[in-house]
Amino acid sequence: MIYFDNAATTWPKPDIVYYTADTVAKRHGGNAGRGGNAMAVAAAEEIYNCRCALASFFGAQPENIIFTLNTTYAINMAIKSSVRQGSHILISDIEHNSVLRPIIELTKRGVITYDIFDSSGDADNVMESIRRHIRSNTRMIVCTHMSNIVPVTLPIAKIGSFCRDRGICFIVDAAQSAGFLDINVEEMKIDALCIPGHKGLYGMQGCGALVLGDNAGEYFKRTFIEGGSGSDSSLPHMPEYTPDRYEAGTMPAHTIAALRAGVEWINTRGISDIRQHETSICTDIIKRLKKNPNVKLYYEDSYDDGTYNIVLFNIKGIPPTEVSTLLNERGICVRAGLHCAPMAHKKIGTYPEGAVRISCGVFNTEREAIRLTNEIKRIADMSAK
Amino acid sequence: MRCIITFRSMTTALAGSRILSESSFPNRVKDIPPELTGRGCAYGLEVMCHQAEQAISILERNKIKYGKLIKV
Repeated sequence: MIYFDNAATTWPKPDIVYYTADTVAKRHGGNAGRGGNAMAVAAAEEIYNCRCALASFFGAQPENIIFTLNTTYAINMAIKSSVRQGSHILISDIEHNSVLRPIIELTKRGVITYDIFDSSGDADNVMESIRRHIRSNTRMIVCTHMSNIVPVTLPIAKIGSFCRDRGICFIVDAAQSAGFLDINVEEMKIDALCIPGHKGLYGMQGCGALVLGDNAGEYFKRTFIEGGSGSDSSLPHMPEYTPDRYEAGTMPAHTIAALRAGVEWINTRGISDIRQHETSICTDIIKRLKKNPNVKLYYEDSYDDGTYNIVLFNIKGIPPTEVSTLLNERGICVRAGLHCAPMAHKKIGTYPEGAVRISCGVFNTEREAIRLTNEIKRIADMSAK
Repeated sequence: MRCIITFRSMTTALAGSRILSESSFPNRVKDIPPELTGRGCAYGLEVMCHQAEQAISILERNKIKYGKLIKV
């Protein structure tokens, strides 16, 4: 099987990730933070090691790493723990449903109003669009770092500075960028960074994290979920301090340990080397697809500036889901449709049928790229007849 | 004699344990009786009492928040 659906979840994982999950589940399978027995403490140490690894990777403090189920959970937690009645929120026009749906829901409930800024053009264009939409009651900007369908990266550090100067809470969806682009929450003035464990960080499915910046206490007051934290248990409310305040219930120690292994593997391999490898594979794919008149590539010009790991295309005359089915029959996994990002597809003109997404990972090879593009050519030729 | 330095959470206790171990202070994470904190479940680091004051100064230097020092 050739796997080009790494934006959905990376596969395969480095061997050390599988080994760590297995070993920790077998040997350190106690319940972290629930008592002082050797197994519970060993599990807690595994989790603490991952907090330290993520804190170092993203420029945060270990106690400000809040483990969640996934990025979507982290985004919901960040927005709903800090939102205030009557707030105005800004989001970009390429958001995934993980941002769009909580915002729509809060709007329906009458809690917030929101506007959408334009992600087109360079950083100055984006900032100009943000400035145009700011109101006196704008309390939050929530946006993706990197689109999950097109090679668009938002100027996070500039938006962060803009927000910090105005006392606006800044929440970043790093579902696609964590492990691919350099991120430092302090330097970029991010209040809440929402990350997946199972994508670019090469951990397993089942855990993500909310990485809080040092300034986050200004905004994050409310809890999102309540229950046992293993601390202050005689109190009827969640503890006041992080991470306990936001982590209720048992944490998946083996999955979290596997995430630590993934982060350490990235540190050893080098994030810039990973970025370069994935970009190079995509560049190769684009070069080959460009030659085919029956293949329509989207955002073709944006590929020129050099940092991306996705390619979006359609074949004339064949619905995208049919293309992915045909590729699947040839042993190649890609993803077709709207990629949970209908707003972004509307922006690029591929709504409602969507498009086919190729997303590269660190284990994809040039040979796989050749095989993929040859198969796409065969399908395109078939459609042209 | 053994002493326990209390912490409000497992995360802080582990942060303290890491710092003390790096400074070659033997220590052990353990849960402590809920009545000691007045807030329910909490955790502590067991250290030798003759090293406790020095251990606390290391924690303070590293800005690790602890609760009380208890002799057991």
